[in-house]
Amino acid sequence: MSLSLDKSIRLRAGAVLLLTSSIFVLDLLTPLGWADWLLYFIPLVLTLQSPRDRDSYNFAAVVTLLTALGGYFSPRDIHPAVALMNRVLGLMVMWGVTWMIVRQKQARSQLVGARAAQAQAEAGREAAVAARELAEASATGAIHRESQATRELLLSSLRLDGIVQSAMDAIITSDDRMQILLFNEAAERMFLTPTREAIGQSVDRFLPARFREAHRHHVEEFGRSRVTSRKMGQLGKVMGLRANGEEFPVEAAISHIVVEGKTFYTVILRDITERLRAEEHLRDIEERSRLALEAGQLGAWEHDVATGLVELDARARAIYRCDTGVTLGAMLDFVHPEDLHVLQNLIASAHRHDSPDSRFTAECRMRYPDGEVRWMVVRAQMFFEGEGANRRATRIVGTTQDVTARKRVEQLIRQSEERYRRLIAVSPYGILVIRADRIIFANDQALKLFGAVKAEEIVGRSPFELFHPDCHDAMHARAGELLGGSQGVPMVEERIMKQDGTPMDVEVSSAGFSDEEGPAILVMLRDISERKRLQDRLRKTERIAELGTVASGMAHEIGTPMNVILGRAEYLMDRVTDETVKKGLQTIVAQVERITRVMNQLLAFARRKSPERGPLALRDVIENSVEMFQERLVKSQVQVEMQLDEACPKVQADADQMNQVLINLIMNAIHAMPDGGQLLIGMSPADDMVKLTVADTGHGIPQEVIARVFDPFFTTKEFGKGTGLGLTVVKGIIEEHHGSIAAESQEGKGTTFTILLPKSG
Amino acid sequence: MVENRPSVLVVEDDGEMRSLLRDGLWSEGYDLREAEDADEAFLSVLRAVPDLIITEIRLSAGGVDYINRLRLFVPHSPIIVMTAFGDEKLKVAVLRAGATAYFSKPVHLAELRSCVKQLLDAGRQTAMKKVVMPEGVR
Repeated sequence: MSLSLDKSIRLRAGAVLLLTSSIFVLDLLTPLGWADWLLYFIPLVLTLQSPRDRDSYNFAAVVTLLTALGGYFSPRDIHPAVALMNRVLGLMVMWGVTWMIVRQKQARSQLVGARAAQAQAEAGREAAVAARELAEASATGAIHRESQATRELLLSSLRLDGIVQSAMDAIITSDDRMQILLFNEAAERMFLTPTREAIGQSVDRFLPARFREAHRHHVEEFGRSRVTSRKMGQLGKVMGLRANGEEFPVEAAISHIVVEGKTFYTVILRDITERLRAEEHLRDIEERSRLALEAGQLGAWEHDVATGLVELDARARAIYRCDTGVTLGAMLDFVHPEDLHVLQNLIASAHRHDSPDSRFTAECRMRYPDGEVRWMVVRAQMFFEGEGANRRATRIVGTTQDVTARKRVEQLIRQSEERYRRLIAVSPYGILVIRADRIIFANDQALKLFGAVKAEEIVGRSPFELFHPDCHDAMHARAGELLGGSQGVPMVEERIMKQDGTPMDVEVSSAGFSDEEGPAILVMLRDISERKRLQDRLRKTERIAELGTVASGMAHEIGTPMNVILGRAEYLMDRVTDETVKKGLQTIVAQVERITRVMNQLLAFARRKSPERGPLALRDVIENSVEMFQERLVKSQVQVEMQLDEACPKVQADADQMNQVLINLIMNAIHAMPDGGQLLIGMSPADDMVKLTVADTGHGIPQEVIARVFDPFFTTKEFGKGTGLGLTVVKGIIEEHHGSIAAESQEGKGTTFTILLPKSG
Repeated sequence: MVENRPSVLVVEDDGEMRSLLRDGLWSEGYDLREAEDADEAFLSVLRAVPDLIITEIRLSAGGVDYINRLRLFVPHSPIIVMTAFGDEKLKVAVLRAGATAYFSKPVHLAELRSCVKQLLDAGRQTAMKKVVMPEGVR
């Protein structure tokens, strides 16, 4: 091999020598003006290809000599000075070119070294691969070759060794049996294994067990392929195994070279644990902010003040219905015209260098071309450069959130509130809210129930001041129950004290609730005094009806025995002469008559037919009734005075029943005035009613019994005179006529009954 | 004189009441017959038509209907109806059914006696046919 190399050099040197001498002869033979000497450049170029730098210089020196000789001996056709000048200039150029090319050659070889070093320092992929190839060649050469070229390659190998050892990446070369041949310092650090231990070991040692088989297979596959190298990352992520058992991710580049039938693999490994971690971290951050935007339904945008353009993300684009990279004005195209100036003002004021706050938040509506209106919340921050008066806004970064759903809910809440407010206002129930034993709210109806005009009369007071003392215990118990978490308590009847001190029966329902201010009680009150009154009346009516039924049944049973008693007494009376016996028999007869009267009254009450009401001139009834009593009135020395208003309308009433009413009242009056007196009967219109008064100047009724005069069997008359049913019947009749009756009396001065009857029509 | 003694039928379920009426009317010299209920009354009437009937109305098989039927049997004799605490409605119904007079118990013996007397006298005077209602009874 060294022989063939030598031969080719000699052959080339001979060619150069022949060519040079030919040119010299030509130069000698041609006139001076012919610039055949320029042909020396051809052999010069050949010599420049020589690996030895001095060959070029030697040849340049020979050419100089030959040019000078040629110039001297050539036939002269031009001035020798001009020729000399030409040749000197040409030689200078030649020397310059030679020097430059040689220098360039030197520089190039230096540059290769410098580039490799630089590539290693930067740990660039391309440089590393180049270095690796060099390293392979060198390593392969170092071990397997012994030739002339070895010397140069060894030099290169030494240089590369420096590079390999100082490389940031781990470089490992192995043979086809996976025995490690080369293991650099970075590999030592990476695998925590000294080179001397690694050399000769299997590559497997540095792979996690589960990858070994796959790796071997993979490498062999690669070795058979025609691909000589795969760059970093092409192999994907590979796991490495440190001496301490720790696994770590690496990025690998692999190349293989076949030398004399043997395959050598060189792997460049980079520990990417840190990078993966950093990438992971970055991904996390990106994901988090994406999720935050997503979760907040936020569209993000950024306005560059200098260009006037806005960058929008997908959601912001959807909100503003525009593309990214549009002007601020275009972005705000679909903002509702009524809200647009608000937004513009905010942006403008944030722009000013003296604005106190670089952030702003605004609510605005979007009105899309299809007519849809949606609510947005815009939050933005200005970024500035410069200070004080020189401060200039550079960009605005903002988010826009679609809050239509929230707005809708707010609106629904407002509507609902309004509904409940109205409901409370028009509620027939009095409503109170009580917190910490104080009334904090009372609706209008509640004020009315308590007889209050202004809310202050009720609100702020304790509920115990407003309820009858009899209810306080129950109220305490109920409040305890409600504040203790019970949802509701049964409805109860209680008594409130109105502002004027009069009691009123109410129905109370209450419920506990809790808000941010704490537990409270909601109380609803209903006036049930009317209901109570009706209930009372109904109870009384029922009692009387029952009484009537009993009386009817009883009448039949006692009628015959009474007749027997009466008849026997009368029969005997006709047959005795003894006055004492006769008197006794008379008493029996009188008592039976009395029982008969009571029974008849009772039966009249029980059997009273449903009235046949029609327009009735009460005056006629009054006059008829008084007429009936004429004889008794005269006998009792009772004067009758009638004040009957001529203009009084007719009443809607049953004549027989009205007659009964007057008979009973006149009878009562006569009984009340055993020593004579005055009976005053009055009649006058009163709104929709007709007022009828029957007054006497008799002994009167004590205050404690006046309320009971209408009760059945209640009588003040002396034994034997009253049935105790007269006024009960009167009241029954009047109430059946939808009228009312009241009694007023002053002891010793007399009694007045006032009847109100609805007028006819 | 048997022909001259008017016959009076007393229909009453209460023994004491019957006894009282018997005693009360005895002195008037009537031919008194008694019945305890409606059925007995009809039997009695079928045997011999009385000149006057005094009857309670609340009897077994009694009532306004009973007065109606009784009137069919005795078209010409006065019928005095009595009942314990009777009311106006009953009075009207009974009179419409053919009763001659109506009394609500308790009734004074004297009143009853005079009513019976008047009715019998009136019957006799009108020669069997004509019945004149005594004033104040209806």
